Amino acid sequence: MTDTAQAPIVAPRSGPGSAGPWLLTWRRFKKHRLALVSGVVVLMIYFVALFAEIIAPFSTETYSANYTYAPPQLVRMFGTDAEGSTHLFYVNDYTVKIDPISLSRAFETDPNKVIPVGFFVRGEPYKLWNLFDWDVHLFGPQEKGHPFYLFGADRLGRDVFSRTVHGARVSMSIGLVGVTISLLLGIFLGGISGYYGGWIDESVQRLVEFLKSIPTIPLWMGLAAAIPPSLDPLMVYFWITVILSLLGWTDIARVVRGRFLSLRTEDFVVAARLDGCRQQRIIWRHMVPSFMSHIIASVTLAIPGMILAETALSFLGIGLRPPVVSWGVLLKEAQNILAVSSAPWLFLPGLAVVIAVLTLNFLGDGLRDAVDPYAR
Amino acid sequence: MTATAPNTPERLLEVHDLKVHFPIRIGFPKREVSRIRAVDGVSFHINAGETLGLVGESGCGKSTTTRALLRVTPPTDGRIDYRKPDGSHIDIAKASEDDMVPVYRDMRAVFQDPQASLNPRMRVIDIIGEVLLVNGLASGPALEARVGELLRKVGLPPEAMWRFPHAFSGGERQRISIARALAPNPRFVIADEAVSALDVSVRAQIINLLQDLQAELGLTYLFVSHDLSVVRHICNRVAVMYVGRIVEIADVEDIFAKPRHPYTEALLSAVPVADPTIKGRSRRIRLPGDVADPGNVPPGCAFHPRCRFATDRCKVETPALQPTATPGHQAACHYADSLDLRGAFDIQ
Repeated sequence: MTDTAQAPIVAPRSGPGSAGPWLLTWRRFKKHRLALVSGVVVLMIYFVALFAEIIAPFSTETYSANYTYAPPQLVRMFGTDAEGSTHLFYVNDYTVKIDPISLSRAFETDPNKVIPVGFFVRGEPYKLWNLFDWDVHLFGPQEKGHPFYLFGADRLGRDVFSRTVHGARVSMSIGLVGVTISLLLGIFLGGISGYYGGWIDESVQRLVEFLKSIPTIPLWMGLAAAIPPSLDPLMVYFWITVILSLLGWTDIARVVRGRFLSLRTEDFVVAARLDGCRQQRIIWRHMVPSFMSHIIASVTLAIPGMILAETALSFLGIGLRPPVVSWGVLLKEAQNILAVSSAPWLFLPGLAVVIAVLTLNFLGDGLRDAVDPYAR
Repeated sequence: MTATAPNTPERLLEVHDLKVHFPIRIGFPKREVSRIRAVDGVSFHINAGETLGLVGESGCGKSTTTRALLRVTPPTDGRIDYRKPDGSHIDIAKASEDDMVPVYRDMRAVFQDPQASLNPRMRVIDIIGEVLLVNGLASGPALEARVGELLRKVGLPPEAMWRFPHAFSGGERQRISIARALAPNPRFVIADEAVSALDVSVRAQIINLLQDLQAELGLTYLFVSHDLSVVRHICNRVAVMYVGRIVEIADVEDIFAKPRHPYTEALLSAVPVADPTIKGRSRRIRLPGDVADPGNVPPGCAFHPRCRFATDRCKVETPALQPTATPGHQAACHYADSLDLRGAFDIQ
């Protein structure tokens, strides 16, 4: 890049010590196995949420009166059907017995009835992201109309697995969107609080303390109750996100404020000032990069809180409401004693919540440990 | 402004009655309950091309003084008269941030902790080149060439510019700090405890580097330190600070041979002596009590509660920094000329 004849200084750009902060962070993060695995799982969950229509074999509304509270089917390999052809993957059909006294149905899997399962099968048509018409599903029964309940069925015979997959979209995105709004609010309010200090700092900090002193569940309930029930489900989703993030910014604001306060007097920030840097350059080139990694870590740790909050609200019936499908809405189905006793698979969306929250926490922990490559 | 300037031509910097106070505000609404007088009426000057040492124990206001000179901490009162390269003068104490930008090109700083003073997220070329880039002095290949040249000057290979600070040892980092200070061709460098965080062998290297650079580039140094042996090695003149004031200022050999202030005498007696034959006969003066609290300075001479020569006059009357019998030697002691104080142990 420089003319060797003219410039006497030709320095190779690589070599020892030329690894940047992001590379060092990655190297450290890689050593944290649990966080690494969790990161992959989190990415997978978001991938599932993004392509929910393709991955779910059915839509959220597909019901079947014949299969109410059908138990989960097991995917088996190498089955021969009635015509004698062998299938790589299959599930067994149910035989239904109706109890003559209680009139309740008892499902039993029939090992002789084979329902072949295939990949990229044509099934129910859908509109991917409300844009593209398609009918290919990642997997499903090869023939339309056959029962295929990996996580069992609910009281209307809807596929719990498909609903859980669709619920991931709402539940995971509410965390992401909520945290993004919190982050913007937190960085702005925390930033001016830490940078300017004085009465601005005082008022922001008192506001944070006030918000943190309010018990969250009653406050959420109050705010959520203010959302008119006639509102469009999409708007309900929007307002729930806003409610969650209006209370969620406080922690991020405190982190940002603390970083600003400590960085303001750091020698390298003073040195940048003595180099003649203007305020904007000092903030964006010297201060923000040094706490961006911390912010990423605390944001990752904030997402599970949002997901749990949404789940709690929806479970209590004051958050999202059907026909919107979220994990909280699904768990509401499991609120009665019948679910506990005879259809425990209705709790499987809860397992999805646990996995999502745990992996996000592990990922956040790993990031937090890795982000400061200069900590001694 | 030039016409009224009291500076003689060779004076680069003249400080008059500099005060930096930190008010302590408590309660709601906040009101000032007391103030820390970190720097309380300091006056000195620095001649072009010399090295002035500023010594004193922790908390005596050395660093606050340098921070006030750099306008990092705004002074409460006083005048800091700086002669710019074009010959005009500027009062740093009252200068605006915009006025300071050209001054910062001429007056540079090297900090104590090389770990903290280099942004760990920037490559060396960006750290050193920042001042050149921001001030429009160089960019692109010219900047790269200049950074390489600076690194060579401070004894580092030019390819070090692509590395990050964490790849260097403490001494190497301080060299990078020095290269950054020298980047815009300054005349004046403030070294605030620049070698205190380094171990002894590295310290000697850095001091020699600073001396070589001074000879080569005609630099003026304000060298802040609490290490008297280093000060003696590198400085032309020394100012001794105690609780926010300068108690004595003189040529380095003068002050080491014949101090005029009892505090300086005690400081000198505390310098460790490497010669074991003398060591046993150490006559270290142990000062009773603690350093005065700059938030609650004793009346009269701030040093009187610890001074073995203190009289009733010292408890009431604050001594001013005034000339003594030796030319160029000033001390803030009522009995500066009458006391017979011992100098550094190995000179007597």
